[in-house]
Amino acid sequence: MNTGTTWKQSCSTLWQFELARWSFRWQRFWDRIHSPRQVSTTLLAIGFVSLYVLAGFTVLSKRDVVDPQRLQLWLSGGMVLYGIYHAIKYVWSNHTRDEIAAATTTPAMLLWIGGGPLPRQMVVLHEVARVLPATMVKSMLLCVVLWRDVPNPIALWVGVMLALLTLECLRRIISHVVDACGGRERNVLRIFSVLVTLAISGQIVLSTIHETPKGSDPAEYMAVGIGEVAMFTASDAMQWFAFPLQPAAHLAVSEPLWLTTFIIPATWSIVHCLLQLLLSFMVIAALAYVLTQLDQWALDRRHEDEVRRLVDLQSGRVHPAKRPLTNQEHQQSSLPTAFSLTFVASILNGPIGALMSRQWHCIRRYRINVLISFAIPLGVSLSPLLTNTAGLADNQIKQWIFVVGGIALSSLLLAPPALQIDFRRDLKRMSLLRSFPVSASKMCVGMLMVPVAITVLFQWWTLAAAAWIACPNLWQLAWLAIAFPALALLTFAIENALFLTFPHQIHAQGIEMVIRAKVTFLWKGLVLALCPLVLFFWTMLCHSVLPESIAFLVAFAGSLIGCWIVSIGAFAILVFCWHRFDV
Amino acid sequence: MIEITELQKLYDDTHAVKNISVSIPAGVVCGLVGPNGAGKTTTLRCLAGLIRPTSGRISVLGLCPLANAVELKRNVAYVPDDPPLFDDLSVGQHLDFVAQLYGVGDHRRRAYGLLERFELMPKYDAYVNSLSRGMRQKLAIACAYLIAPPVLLLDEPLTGLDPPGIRALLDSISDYARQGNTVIISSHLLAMISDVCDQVWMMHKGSVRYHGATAGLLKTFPQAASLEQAFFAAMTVVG
Repeated sequence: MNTGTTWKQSCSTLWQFELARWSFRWQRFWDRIHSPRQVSTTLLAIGFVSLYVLAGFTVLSKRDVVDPQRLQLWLSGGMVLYGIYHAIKYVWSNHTRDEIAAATTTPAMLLWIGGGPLPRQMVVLHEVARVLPATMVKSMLLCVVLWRDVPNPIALWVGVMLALLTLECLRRIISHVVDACGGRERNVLRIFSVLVTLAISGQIVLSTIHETPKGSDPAEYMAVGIGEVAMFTASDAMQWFAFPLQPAAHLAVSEPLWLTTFIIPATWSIVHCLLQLLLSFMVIAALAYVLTQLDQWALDRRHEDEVRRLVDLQSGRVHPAKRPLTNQEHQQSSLPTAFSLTFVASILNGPIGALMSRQWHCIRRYRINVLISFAIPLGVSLSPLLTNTAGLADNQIKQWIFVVGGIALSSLLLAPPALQIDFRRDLKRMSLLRSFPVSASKMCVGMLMVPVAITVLFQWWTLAAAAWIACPNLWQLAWLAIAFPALALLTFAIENALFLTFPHQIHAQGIEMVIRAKVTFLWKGLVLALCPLVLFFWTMLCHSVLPESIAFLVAFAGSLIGCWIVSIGAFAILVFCWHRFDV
Repeated sequence: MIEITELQKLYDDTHAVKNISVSIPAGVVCGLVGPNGAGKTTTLRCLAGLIRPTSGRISVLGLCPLANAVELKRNVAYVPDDPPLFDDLSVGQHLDFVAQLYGVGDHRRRAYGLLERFELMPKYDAYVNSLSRGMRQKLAIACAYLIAPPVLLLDEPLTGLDPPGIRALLDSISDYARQGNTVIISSHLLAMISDVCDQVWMMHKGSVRYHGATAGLLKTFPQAASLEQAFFAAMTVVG
């Protein structure tokens, strides 16, 4: 069978395969449409999309129009910024992928597609192509927000979609290059990544400080900061890095490329759009080719590294596998670091302790990632305190509000993805978890204890640092110190309850995941918006109805009790979901 | 048919396969045995072209897993222990997919025969996620037979199968080898596979401890009455 036939047959097979899978999903959706769970998900998704579209054509359509050229710069530069973020994250991640896993995502794909008689390039490209449906939906959602800023919404949709596909190719190229690096090279990349991070964040922070008038409140600093990020993405340096994204970004805003205006008049918009469409396809094709070549190069480099290590091993320069630690050594090695939580776990001395101990080992393994995930929100939450407030009492209050908002935002949005060591990590081990002789409530306590404890630690640490600088009212501080843990519990309980009701793979992609992420974001946004309102009305009610002597106390204690009742209620829902979970 | 020369595989710091050289002719059923961590699965994955050996040469039907990757995969079927399947395909769709992937023309009649043989016919339209562990194993084996490759690699295929399923599989392996195909079956159930194996390939800590005719192993340990006893005797000698 010649190469052409192999490629043609492979394409046809994979197309039929994807069609069969889509048909199954549609059939499953239709079969389950009458179940309350499916109805609620469908209604939530439809509700979200309707609200989103409604907002896009009402509220968002009344805002000031952004200059298309600026939009184009943000689109291309913003994607480069995401590419840098992905590279830094990937360089610091500890996973090692074997050659088949580097090109496939699931064990079934690994066996049947990776192990099947398909050219390796086809396997690599199939994985890239699989993101296409989700990319189309993401682009549509973005178009709802941006349609007013551009002359042609169709060109916007196609341009954003092609830009996202280009970004996907770039992201995979970065991953393959990092995968090809040996230990020493990866360390060099890590040092380089730290320098890049410091340089970019330093530039943005310094220019924000420089551009914001002295004595401004934190809101102004934030607004200027966002503007500086936008300026940074639009800078010449970033735009040079973004050259593969330029045709798609220009197509999105229906603006001609500077170079093409020399041969085609700038007013021939349709011709320019068609040319950019063609160029975008060519860029994607070129990147796909580079990706397949880099994949082979990465395989060869990893093999060379493996051979080198084998030679070292055989010449006795390195010892084979590490010798297991003796009991005494194990105690010595684990005592200092594991003291705090292992000690608590040993006090609990039961199933909860066992579950916590397992999570603790997991946290120790990924400690660098967890530390970085919390160090950034810590810095961002405390940053309003660095603004100049000399002589402005109002600004001190605003500073404090921003710190509190930062902690709440970080607890709701950043902590759950950073600490996926609860039920969400154990989809493949649900049968095992169900087989443990542990009650549903104890299982949920054990699963949530460590992530919630770490989040609370972050909250208290940030509060303490902020209180040391801003010296707030002690009652306020005490209230926040008691209320924030309730928020941490609420966040993880709802996140896990949603997962148990609608389980998904931890790295799953696709349209469902896009909608899911938006709906999750929606409930978190609602919590952030409603909590202050409810608290405000509760305090007003207490002060208007009760005598002044007890109004404060009732408002203080009542609001805390209310917060904890909501959190415990969420936890009870989680216990119910785990109790009802069908393996 | 299969020529392995000085094969070695290193995972991080683990030397999984150490310098093994084995030759297996066509039409043979070879039992690959050894304790856990002996390097059996790694060797099978190298033979199937799923992982690249660190060093050494592999030739299957004269094809090299590196230079002729696609052609080799077309001629080798590998069924792992607890095979992962696509949960969003039905049993029939799985067979159709594999037939199309490997370019098997007019596969339906053979597919029905295989499903009958492994008692999966009533599950033809059932989705894979509704099958039991043993049924999933049977489906993966049926997919492998559907391709009709000259080389069949089965890693722990008996795990999860019911007694009639084990009998059907062992009979099918004998029939398949009689047609001139080579089967390597890795298993810990030595008593079960001893009837069908022409050769035994014994591995221990990444090295070959014995490779040759089953009768030869029994001759080496005359006090052993079965393959299982010979296995334990050989392992004791190895220490």
